[in-house]
Amino acid sequence: MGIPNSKYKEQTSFSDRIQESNRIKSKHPGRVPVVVERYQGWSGEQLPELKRSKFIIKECFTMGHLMSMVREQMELRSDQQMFLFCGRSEIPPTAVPLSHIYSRYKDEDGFLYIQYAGESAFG
Amino acid sequence: MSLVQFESFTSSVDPDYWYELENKKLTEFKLDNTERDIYATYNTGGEHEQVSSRIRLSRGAFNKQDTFNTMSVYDFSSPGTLLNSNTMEDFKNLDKKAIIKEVAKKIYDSIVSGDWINDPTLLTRFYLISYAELKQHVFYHWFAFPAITPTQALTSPTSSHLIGKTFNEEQVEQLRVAYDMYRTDNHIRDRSFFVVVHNQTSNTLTINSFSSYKEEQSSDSKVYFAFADPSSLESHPGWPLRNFSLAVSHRFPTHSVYTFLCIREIPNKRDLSRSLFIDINQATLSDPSKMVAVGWEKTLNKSRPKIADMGQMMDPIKLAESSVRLNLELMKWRMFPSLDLNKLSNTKCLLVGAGTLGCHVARNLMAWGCFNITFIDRTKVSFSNPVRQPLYEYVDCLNGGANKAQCAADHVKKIYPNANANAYSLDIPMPGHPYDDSHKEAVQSHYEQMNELIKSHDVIYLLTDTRESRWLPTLLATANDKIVINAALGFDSYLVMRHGQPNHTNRLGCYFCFDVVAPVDSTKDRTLDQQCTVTRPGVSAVAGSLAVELLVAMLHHKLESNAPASIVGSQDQGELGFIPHQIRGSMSNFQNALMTGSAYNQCTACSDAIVKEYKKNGFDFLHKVFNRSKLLEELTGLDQLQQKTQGMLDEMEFIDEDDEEYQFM
Ligand SMILES: [Zn+2]
Repeated sequence: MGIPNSKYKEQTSFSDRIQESNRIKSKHPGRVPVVVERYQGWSGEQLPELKRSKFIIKECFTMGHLMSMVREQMELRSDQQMFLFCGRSEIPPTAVPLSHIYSRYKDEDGFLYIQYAGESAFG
Repeated sequence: MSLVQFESFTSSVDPDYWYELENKKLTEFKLDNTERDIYATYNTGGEHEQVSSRIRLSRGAFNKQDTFNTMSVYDFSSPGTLLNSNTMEDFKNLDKKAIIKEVAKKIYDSIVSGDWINDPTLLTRFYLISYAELKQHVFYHWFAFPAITPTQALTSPTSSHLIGKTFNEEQVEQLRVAYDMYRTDNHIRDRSFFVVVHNQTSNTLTINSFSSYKEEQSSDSKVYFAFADPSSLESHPGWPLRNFSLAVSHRFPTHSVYTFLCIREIPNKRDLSRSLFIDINQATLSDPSKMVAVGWEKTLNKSRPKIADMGQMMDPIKLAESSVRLNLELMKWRMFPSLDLNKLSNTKCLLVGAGTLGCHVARNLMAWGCFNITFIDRTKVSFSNPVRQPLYEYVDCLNGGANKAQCAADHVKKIYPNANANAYSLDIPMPGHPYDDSHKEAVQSHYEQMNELIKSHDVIYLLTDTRESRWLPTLLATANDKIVINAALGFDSYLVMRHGQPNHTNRLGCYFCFDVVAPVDSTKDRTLDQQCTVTRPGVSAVAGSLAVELLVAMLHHKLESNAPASIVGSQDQGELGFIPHQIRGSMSNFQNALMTGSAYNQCTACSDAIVKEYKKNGFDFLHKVFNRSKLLEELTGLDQLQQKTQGMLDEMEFIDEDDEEYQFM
């Protein structure tokens, strides 16, 4: 697993990203810019790509809300399990508000990057 | 004048001694190869020349008192020293000349100082060098029974003769009775060398220990220096006489000839008739600097070590046990001294699922010496299983297939007969898998058995092939505060994690803590490839071994299951290093990531809301969940969370063009 990867990050220059995150934060106070992308590390348990991978989220919402939203967007069946993680090793507590996650894990470009992956279930 | 020849000792080592050495080497000596005191015993020569002059080491050899306690009145003790080398090379390179000289010098000193008077067994001091090839249970060894060479060879003015030639029957009997009493009244160390005084006027025989004997002045007394003689040969006295005759010459120098009585008693037969008399001329010790000694034991007339191959003699089950133990004990020598093998062997593991993961976990548990393994599985061994699931074979698939759990347990016992392997063929009830009321009783019985099994085990391994089958054991283990190790496979990925327990500080999440939906039937509407475990074959072996290593690492942390999760750079480690919460690995890039996540207060399996409900309503609650898993989302409030996000999607706020590509929440 290891190093987080982001298509958005790769396709957009650092200065453009900073400009964009500042724009969002000033335009939408009380919300944070978040990029949620599929983890590219393995091909099994493949979940679909999100149609919209960029989010503007109220700070008071929790990881649980975000997860529920991601599931809705993907129209994930309820028998498919997934998890979200940021950075190298943190699965943020599902109950914790995004403001908290944002201040802890936000990138220097002002976005919070989160990856999702399908959970394994076979034996 | 004739040269006196002696029969040398022949060593004879009980298998028990080797077991004991092996045990001590592994658990006590380890790499410490300093000299150890040992004690051997011998008997007096009997009728059979084949067993003449045997000196024996047995289990108690490492402890003087143990040796004395097992000795009968017909046994005589001999003090020795063991030098057990760490390598074959060390053993081969030992300076045997120097060794025998050094040991002989000790005997020499005890003769000169007179110490032998108080402990005559010092005259029979021996030395043993050995090298234990523990993997094969082969022991290379070589005894030295040092005999000091006098300035001139020992000679006899006459020839030796049987006791009956000097003593009449009555006198022999008198001697026998006196010797019996003497042995009972005196210390073991005085048994093997003593003085017999024959008062010819009164025709009485008395026996004295050397420490109590005062040299007789009376001319009508005849003095015999007696010793328990291990030889059975009529022509040769036994080896102890060599040092004994020198000691006597040195102690009582006024004689020119000494008469020795070689006591040979056939144990339990009250028969001394094979005893010998032999006269030996006065002999003198050389200067200490010129002292020479002989006595390395010969094997088949050659100077070479003996080889004891216990591998073939040992009870095969015992052999398996000691060999397995050996491999693990070796870790304690250098690599992992704090390894707690007893803790591992006492840990009871319940393996829920006996498929690819179950097989690999069982094998790895065994490799750690953890043999209390119980399998739960309801399926039968199928033809596709054996190549991927290392506890099954082709024959197990015949006739409809063997019961999987039982077959796994049987194979564990085939691999290691002492294993405590058990099997239960149980259907694990699952959320979202409804059943007719007619089945309710059966489901309840399966739940109850499962609950009992979880209570009676220490560690619950979740190794089944669906998400929903992991729910009930997760809940029951949480309710009973048990350790859970959960392993799950994807096509080329795996997850191995431990579940937090209710009273842990910074409680870690369970398998269900990181998503916001209750488990449902995942096998419905799925194609064959989605229903079966379609994975790269290596993932189960890797995940199975990680699942065991994680447990072992955790059990070797002072806080055990409460150990905080370590991640890269973490200081908080156990005796075996890292104890992560989750290991998420991928075969597509051959990497592992250690991840950590806290318990979720709305978790559908381990949250207080669910555990409380279960504790309150027991099977009634479970019954409802099995038939309608949405209940879990209602109880935890996840349904509201979902409604909220649904609402957000339905009533999207007005978005201007700049923000079109964003999802608002
Ligand atoms: Zn949980």
